[in-house]
Amino acid sequence: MKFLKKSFLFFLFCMFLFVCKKGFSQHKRDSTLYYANKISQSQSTDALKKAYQFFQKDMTASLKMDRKDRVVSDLLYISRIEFKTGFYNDSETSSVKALSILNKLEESDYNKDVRKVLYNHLGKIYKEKKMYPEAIKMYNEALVLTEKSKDSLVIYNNISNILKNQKQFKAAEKLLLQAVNMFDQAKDTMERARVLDNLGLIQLKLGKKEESLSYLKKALALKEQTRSNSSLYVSYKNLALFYSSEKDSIKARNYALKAYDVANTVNSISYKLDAGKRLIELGDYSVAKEFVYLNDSLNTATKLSENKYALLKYDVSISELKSQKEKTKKQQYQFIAFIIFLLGTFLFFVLKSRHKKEKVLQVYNTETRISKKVHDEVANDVYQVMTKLQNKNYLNEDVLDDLEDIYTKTRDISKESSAIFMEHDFEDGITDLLLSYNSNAVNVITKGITTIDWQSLPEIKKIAIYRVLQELMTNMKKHSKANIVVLVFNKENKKISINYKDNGVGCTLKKYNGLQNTENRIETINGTITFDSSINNGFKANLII
Amino acid sequence: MFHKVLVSDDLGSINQGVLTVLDSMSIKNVQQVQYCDDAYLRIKKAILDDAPYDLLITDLSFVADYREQQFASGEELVIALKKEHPELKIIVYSVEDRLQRVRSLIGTHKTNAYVCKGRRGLIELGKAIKAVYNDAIYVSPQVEQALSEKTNLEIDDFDIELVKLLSHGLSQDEISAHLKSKNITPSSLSSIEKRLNKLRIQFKANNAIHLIAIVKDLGLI
Repeated sequence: MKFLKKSFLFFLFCMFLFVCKKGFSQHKRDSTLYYANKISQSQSTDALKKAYQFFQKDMTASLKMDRKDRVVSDLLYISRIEFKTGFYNDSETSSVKALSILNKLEESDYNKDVRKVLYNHLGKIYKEKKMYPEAIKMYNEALVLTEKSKDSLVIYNNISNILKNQKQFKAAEKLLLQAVNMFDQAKDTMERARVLDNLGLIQLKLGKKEESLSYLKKALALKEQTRSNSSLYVSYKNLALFYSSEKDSIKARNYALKAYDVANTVNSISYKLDAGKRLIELGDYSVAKEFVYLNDSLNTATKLSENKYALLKYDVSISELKSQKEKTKKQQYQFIAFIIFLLGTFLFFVLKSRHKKEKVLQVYNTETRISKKVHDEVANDVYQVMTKLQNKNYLNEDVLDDLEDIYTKTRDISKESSAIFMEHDFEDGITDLLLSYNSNAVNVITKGITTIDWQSLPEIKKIAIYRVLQELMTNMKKHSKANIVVLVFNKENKKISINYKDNGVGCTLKKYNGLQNTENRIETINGTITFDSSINNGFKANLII
Repeated sequence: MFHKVLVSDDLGSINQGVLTVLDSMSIKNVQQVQYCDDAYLRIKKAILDDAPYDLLITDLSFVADYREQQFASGEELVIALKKEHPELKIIVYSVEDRLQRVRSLIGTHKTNAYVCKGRRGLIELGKAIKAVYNDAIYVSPQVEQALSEKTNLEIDDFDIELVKLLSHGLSQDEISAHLKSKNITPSSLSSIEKRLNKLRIQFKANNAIHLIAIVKDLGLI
């Protein structure tokens, strides 16, 4: 029993664990690199959406595991996606958050790089938001952290662009000249070309025409080395600008056409539009038709992508909501499982204790019954014999008779509660029981006892039948004064019916101890027992099991 | 008379009574034991010593105590001894009066006598010793039914049919004819008479009319 109880509890515990584990375990794959590439390369909204979801998820997981460096990098990626999709405010929030977390971390080379990237990124954001002083401040912060001269060139370019937008041409020129001085250390051709381009344009604005032209041409020469078409476009465009300001419309148109050709090779709509605009300004209307068409399609495309990006945000928030819902559901299931577990355990113990109580009560009842019997039937008689002996008038024989009576009574009580001799044929057992009540005074008659299939009867029913018959016969012997008792055994469908009748004095039916006991016994095996008797009319009992 | 007797009972006072009976029958060589195992060993040893006991008087129920016993009850002892030494005569002297046990001990295990402890127990024990000495079987009157036919109690449908026909006013001759017409056996006049006599005894009836009255009162017809 004890083992059973333990194993039952263990089983419940295992089930509980299983449910929990199913909820918590998470299949995780590291694909940061894959999605990082997606951000820099992809133009498709879907890919960005997926990347966004991935980094959001990864960040939540990293937060849980308390891996702050990872949270920072996730935030950076998120910020980039937001920037790319035009959500500058959100992008700013993400970057600032990343910076604030980064500030709490220990300084290291890696962290320094990340910080620099973040400052640069923030600069870009502020520039897009036209918050130029903030943008410059951010770029300067990035510049402080920069050690590689290539990176410095990038930042110089970025700052000069802002200064140019603010029409601070002098400051921009000064900055770019500084950058030119750093060319010895920085070998990156593209960045050098960009610096030269920018410087040329600024000097054009400042009216330093010769220097401007020489810088622009130097930049073109550098770009021709790299054979990068898209960067060539910028040079051609700049040169076209230069010549148009010089009123040299032939050269200007020449460069504008070159720029248009490059734009066609690269097949960039924005370049084409830009180049087309320049050509129209210069009086060349050959591309006007195409320009209008391109302009329209670009507008549509922009609108579409705006919508798509708005949708992206919405989708992400929807999927977050979904996962939140799933999580709540999971928690609910876990909670329910836990409650069931608790209830099960509770019920188990309640039933157990109730069963125990019932058992204790039964034992108590039996003890009370036996004790009462001993008191009523034995102790009283012994007391009577004792008083008789004090008188001494009685004969020896008389006292002996009394004592024998007491002895028999004691034996009967013991027999009532003793073990039933079950190892033999039950039919024999019952016959012997009835036979033992057969005497010169009483004839016991049975009918149909052999027709019953006693073998297939369960032990518990056999015991009940035996005890009930014993009780009935004992009652008969004690009270009825009958001289004939008939017991008719019958099979009724699948049940057994036993009819008891005697020709004794009968009684008014009151549920005294013995009969109440038989009723209880029969009830426990789902049988019925009915009694019928009146004075001078014998006693009847019908028992169906 | 018996020469060497062993008495096995865990109650000294009862042994005392048994000793008195044996003494009155001038059996002097009597030994007592209080454990079944002791009884078994004594009997075995006596046989080895070539001075075997010729009677064992034993109780059935022994109170279990600190001593671990090979034979927990007198029944086990009797069964083992009768198997190994059928010639040893055994009288069981016990409070136990359940017929099944008596039948099993006398019938199956060939115990020589079964005496119930009681008011007349010692007198019956004296009778039993005499009977067993003469190679007879003795059983106390209160458990005598253990050896009688069990069917004495049982009546059957045929009996009820007989009484029913009788109650309808048929004479025994008419009953016989009726049964014959229905191909029910036995239907001879003599067997009907025998049956009715048996029923009269069972139902304690003085005559056929009385029998019908009793059976009717009991609701059997």
